[in-house]
Amino acid sequence: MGDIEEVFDLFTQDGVILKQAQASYMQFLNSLGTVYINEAKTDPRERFLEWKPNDITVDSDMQDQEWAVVNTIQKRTRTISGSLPSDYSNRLRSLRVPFRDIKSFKSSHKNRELTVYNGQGDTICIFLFQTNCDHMAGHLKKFMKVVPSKRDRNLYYVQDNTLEIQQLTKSFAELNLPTDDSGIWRLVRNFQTQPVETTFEAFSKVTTLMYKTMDKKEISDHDREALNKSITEYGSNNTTDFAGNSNDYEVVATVPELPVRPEFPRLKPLSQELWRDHMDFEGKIEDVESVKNLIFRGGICPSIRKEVWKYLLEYYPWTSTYKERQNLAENLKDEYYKMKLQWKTITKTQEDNFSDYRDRKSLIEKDVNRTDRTVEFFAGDNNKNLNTLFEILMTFVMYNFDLGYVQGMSDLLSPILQLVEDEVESFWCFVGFMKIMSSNFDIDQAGMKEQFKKLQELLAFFSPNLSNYLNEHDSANMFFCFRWLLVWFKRELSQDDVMRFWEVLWTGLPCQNFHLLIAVTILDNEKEALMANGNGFTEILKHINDLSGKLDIDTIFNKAEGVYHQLKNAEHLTDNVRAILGLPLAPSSSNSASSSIAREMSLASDACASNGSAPRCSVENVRISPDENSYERSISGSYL
Amino acid sequence: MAKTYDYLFKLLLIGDSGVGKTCVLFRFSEDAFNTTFISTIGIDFKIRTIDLDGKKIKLQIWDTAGQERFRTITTAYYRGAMGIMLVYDITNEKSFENIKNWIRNIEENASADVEKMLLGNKCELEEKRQVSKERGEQLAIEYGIKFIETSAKASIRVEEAFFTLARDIKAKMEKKLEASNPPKGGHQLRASEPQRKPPSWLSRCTLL
Ligand SMILES: Nc1nc2c(ncn2[C@@H]2O[C@H](COP(=O)(O)OP(=O)(O)O)[C@@H](O)[C@H]2O)c(=O)[nH]1
Ligand SMILES: [Mg+2]
Repeated sequence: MGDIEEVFDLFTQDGVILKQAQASYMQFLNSLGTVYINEAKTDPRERFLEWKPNDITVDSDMQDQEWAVVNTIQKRTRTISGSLPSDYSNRLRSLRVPFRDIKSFKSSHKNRELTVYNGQGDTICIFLFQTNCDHMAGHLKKFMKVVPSKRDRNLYYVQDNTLEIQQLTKSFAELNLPTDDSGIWRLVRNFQTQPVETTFEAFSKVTTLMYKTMDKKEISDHDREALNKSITEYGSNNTTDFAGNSNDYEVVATVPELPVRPEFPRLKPLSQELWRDHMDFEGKIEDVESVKNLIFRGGICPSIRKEVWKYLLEYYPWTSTYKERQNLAENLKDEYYKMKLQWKTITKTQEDNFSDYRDRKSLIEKDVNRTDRTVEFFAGDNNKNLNTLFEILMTFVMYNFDLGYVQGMSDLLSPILQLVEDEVESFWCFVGFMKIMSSNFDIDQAGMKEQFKKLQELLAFFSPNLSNYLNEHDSANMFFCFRWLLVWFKRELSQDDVMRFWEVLWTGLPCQNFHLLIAVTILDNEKEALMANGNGFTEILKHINDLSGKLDIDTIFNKAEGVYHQLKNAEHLTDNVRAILGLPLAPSSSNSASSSIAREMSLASDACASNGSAPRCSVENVRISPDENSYERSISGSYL
Repeated sequence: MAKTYDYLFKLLLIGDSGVGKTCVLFRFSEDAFNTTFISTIGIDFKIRTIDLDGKKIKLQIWDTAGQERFRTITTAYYRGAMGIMLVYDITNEKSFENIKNWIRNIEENASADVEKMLLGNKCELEEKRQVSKERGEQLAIEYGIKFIETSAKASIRVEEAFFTLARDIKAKMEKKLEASNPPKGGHQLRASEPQRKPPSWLSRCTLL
């Protein structure tokens, strides 16, 4: 193959990053290049999937976000015959995979990633496409005889070669692996003490077992699907890696259990007495954390809500004195009226020549008339509160013209204005709220997309069944939660409940992104209904939209806080989830690579031992790689 | 199982914020008008089943938020739409000018053969009119689509608009079916749309 050969391109696509390949390609990982489908004029003709790096190989944006794993394990287990001729590796320039070595392939991450498998549970390579892999996958489908997987519509088996896969699968599926403390499971446990030595011993035994049980019965479609599941579902959605890249682990397991969920019954709201108790003689709040805790646990008594919100929304600093607050209020009032005057005094001509301003104004006019008109405070024709709503939003446009006005903002302001009443104070409280929420209104919706991704990761960890179901039913993007996240459940709750709900979230307790745990909690509560009757994205959206007005925030808070503790204390908690919740990442000591292997192995062992139905397990779950830590910490790039 | 409908059509309402999409939909699905309506956040849909030439047609009509910014999200729902109502407000010049952008948006995100129709809403507000009926007609001719002026508030021609769109889709679909599927017993709707996975409307189109 090192000879000069006549090759012509059947298909090429550039802008493709090599994400994973054998170790010898390490230098090219994360490089930008071009993929080809080539045909060599040999007899018989041979086709290849080929990737060549570009000469300039920097794409820092991608590199920072993405992770890379060098597939070192392949060297120790089975090599892929033919995919990497030895003479090639010396003058490595391109990655070349003969079609005959490709046993299945799969697109993932919104079709941005294409993974090619060798049919033995090994990944040959992963490509990340700057656009998408639709064309590439389309051509592969055209040039090879493929069948789609029943379980994962993004996975395709190359048909001619599937028999081998089937047999291998079956052999695993049918292994009657001992469930007692003997045999390979003792070996598995030994990983904890002697990981490396035990690895090799285990390999040989598992392999022996495997081959002994081969050549049994016909292989059913179901079993093939099971293998598929082992390769793919774990990849797209599992407990070790939510980024969806863990094909080099192949632990097919019942999901590790979360700790029991503790109960957190709601307490009484923060009372006037308690609030006063926390204020010293100058008017400073003492022990802010304890105040926030009380609010987190029970909300705020309506009688002092108006006052306390000003602190929660950073209109007043917690430690300000009476005097300081008085000065602050005066200054902020001046500032507000300055900004208000700016738009109030704009002339007709100015306005005519200022389309960005006009656009913002007309959006506000339209939305103000459609904001909470059933709430008494805003009801009726010529309601003066609507005008105040309008003026505050217009002034906010002058305060932050670039952000301007985006639909949803009037919903965020309305409860504040209703409670605080005063125009100036409402404005500044709204500004405080917008500090938390502004990324929801990004021009490119990056903030929303980021949240969908985080929500997806949390759900995959907490409720993998539901998460799998959503992935398989066109709902992996979580768009059906758009309204929830955009305005923090404002549209799902009554005005009273919204107030009780937001003030709890404003405390920032018990962790970052607690509102996403609320979403996880509600989704988990609705799990059965969502997964019923093969619901697709239409029914899922409908069900979620119809929850409006039916949510009981007290029970949701109770459970969501419990969910937080379950996650925090889960042994298999990933750094990904930790990062989302703002928990400290796991210490990365020198032996963490081996301990995480031990953890994986014990998961596999638990699963196989406890699950009577077709235990599947393969050697690939043992991976000793220097990249272990970076792998675990990795967050896949934005794929929305 | 009882046969509840023969066809399921997915329709979409798009157009600038405030042109009356939600009101038009509410008029059609509930025959009512509500001035205290809230603005649409995200996306939702309503269902109404109509009779057309002896066939029961279930219309699943999707309502979207209009603001530019949310398009990356709302366009995700364009997939599988068979008919699109492009709505503008006859009292708002800008919303009419933007129809061009919306059409471009459709071309980029919806299937090429989606049936389109232009609606000039709020037509009872004659005294505030900024866009003449002729201009609406002209634009529709330019794009080769049908045009109707409606009022969700005064209940003018809203029914007609949806029935027209549904009839056109039905005709187009039946034509396709015949072409790809010479007369034979039973419906073979699969043939009408070559897709990897039949979308949900399709799988439910078959006779129950
Ligand atoms: N006069 C009049 N007003 C309408 C009509 N349809 C809608 N509206 C009003 O226009 C505003 C925006 O309507 P909406 O349906 O929410 O618009 P959308 O943003 O396109 O969904 C609301 O205040 C409605 O009351 C109509 O036919 N005539
Ligand atoms: Mg609307």
